[in-house]
Amino acid sequence: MKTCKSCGMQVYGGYTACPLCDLPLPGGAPERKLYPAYEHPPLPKKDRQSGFVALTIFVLALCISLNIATYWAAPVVWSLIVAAPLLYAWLLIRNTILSKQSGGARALLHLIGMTAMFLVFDITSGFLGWSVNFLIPFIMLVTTIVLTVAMSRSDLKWEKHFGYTITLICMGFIPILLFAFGIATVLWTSLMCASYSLLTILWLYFGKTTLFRAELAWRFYV
Amino acid sequence: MYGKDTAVQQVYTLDNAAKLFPAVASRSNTSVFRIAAIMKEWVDASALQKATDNALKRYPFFAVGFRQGLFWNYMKSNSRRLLVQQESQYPCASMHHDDNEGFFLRVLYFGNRIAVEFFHSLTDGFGGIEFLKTLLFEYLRECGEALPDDGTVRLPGQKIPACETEDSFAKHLNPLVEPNKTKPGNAYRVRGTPYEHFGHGIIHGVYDAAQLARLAKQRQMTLTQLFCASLAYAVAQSPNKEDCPEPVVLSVPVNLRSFFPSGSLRNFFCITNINIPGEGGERSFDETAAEIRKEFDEKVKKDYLESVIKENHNVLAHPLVRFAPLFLKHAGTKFVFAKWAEKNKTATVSNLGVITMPEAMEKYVERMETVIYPTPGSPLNCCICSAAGKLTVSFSSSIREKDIIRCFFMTIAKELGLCAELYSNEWS
Repeated sequence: MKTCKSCGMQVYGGYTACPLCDLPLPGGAPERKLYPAYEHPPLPKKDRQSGFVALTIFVLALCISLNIATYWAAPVVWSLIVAAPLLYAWLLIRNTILSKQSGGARALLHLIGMTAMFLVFDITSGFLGWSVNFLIPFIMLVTTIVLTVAMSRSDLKWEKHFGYTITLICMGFIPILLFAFGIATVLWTSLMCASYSLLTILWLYFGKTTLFRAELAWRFYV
Repeated sequence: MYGKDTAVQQVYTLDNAAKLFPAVASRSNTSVFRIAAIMKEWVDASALQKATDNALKRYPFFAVGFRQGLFWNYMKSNSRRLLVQQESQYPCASMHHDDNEGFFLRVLYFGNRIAVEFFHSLTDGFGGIEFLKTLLFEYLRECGEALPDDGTVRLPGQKIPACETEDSFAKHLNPLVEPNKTKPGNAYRVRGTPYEHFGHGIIHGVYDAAQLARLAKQRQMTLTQLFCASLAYAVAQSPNKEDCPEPVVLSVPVNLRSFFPSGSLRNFFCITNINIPGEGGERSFDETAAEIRKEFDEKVKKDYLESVIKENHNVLAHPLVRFAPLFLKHAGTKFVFAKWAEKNKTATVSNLGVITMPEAMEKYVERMETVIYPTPGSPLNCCICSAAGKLTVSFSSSIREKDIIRCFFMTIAKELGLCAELYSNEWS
């Protein structure tokens, strides 16, 4: 034990300065380490990301301003065609590629981002319906297949992706609803997507009865 | 068999206190507390790993991961192996789903220290102590020590009583009690310079437990009251407090097991705010102690605690809260916590009391330490425990200034004539 001349407290031998006063203590090398010597990670560099955010905002603002200024000459909302892939690129990099979220969460976000982008493209180019008729049902189908394959391969993944898969299954019925409301005009793609969702529900209900019901009960526990 | 989740997984709901922590937990408010034993000998990592494997068999409700439902979080058993780690981070660092094999407790070792860190949703200080005692017992056995089972430590192989996992808040809810509707005002808040590298600075002060208890008794105070009085006095002496009319409010967790019969190892505590008014001029230590005693007499009693439990229950049982989706609940809790709860207190003082162990086990333990996490609104907190005749006061802080901690130890030295033996983690 060493005594601090300033506060008069006793300090354990392993210290060269008083923990309260930070004043040096008499004595040499530490006797015994009571805590590890921490390795501080380097301080983060001046937020590189904020530069990219500023650049994105600048590009978006510039496009919107130009679009508004030239709208009288060419009445097309072309700034949306620039904005949509730009925002999708952000989603792809931040929330899909660099994200530490589970695969299910990333797949779902990616799906929503792609759907929104293609819808914007279709709407701004006069809404020919190719997004709701073909692309969106196809992307939904592929994402649901990927997740169900991941789920079927191990119980761990099955449980991990449960919530996202349920959400995707529900989303799988959106194309057929769009067809019912006359927004989509091609039936077979919507039907294919809805059928796969239905098959997935049946597989979960009858193939994984106990696990599925138990998991469902806990997920919706109030 | 580790490494694969099986179909037979146990699921546990969260008690009322536990529901708060997942919503507010972050890097700066980790909701992680530590209980550690300083052994007389260097810790053997392989024996500790075996002891951890054994101890977790007795506490399956701690070997869990968190899951998100649509309305509430719940806990599900985790059949992977909890690996002990050599301490490398600051105490009470945050826990994340992807770390630590999905567990929400850590078993750490460094030199002579065996530490267990818990995410607060799993348990409170009482549960943490019980787990550490089991871990130490198993560890010493793995080290070849012949320890007799005197029935005071929960050991693997014993039947696990259902009461250990019960939600005692629900069990002891008194429907006839009026909920506590007192709206606390803003408290004086400790401010300071954050560390250059974010982390928790820890300063421990060790006293002779019997001597300190005797001196506190002479002043007609319990140890908790003594530490509250010393801290409130130290806060009042800090330069920032001058001309600040807001009261010093110390948040004191009360172990409800002392008031309600409960064998639960989950959270069963209640926060009591001890209020020392800001007006009335500068108070001496004795005047501060008198205020503290009065507050304790008023608030640390069954009727008051029942009303606080009822109020907490009413908030969570409200249909608007109950049926709100989890993400909305989390957003709301975060908002309420930052806007009000954090502004109601100056610091937390948590006394875990005397940790008793079988004599055969105690002779291998030098002392114990407990550490609680600081938060942005309460950057300085204090935790106390005593074991093997030594009482350790541990301050955790996220700011560089140490004037309050210094004044705290010097007040005890001046008023009771007892100096602490200090050590720290030298975070700054």
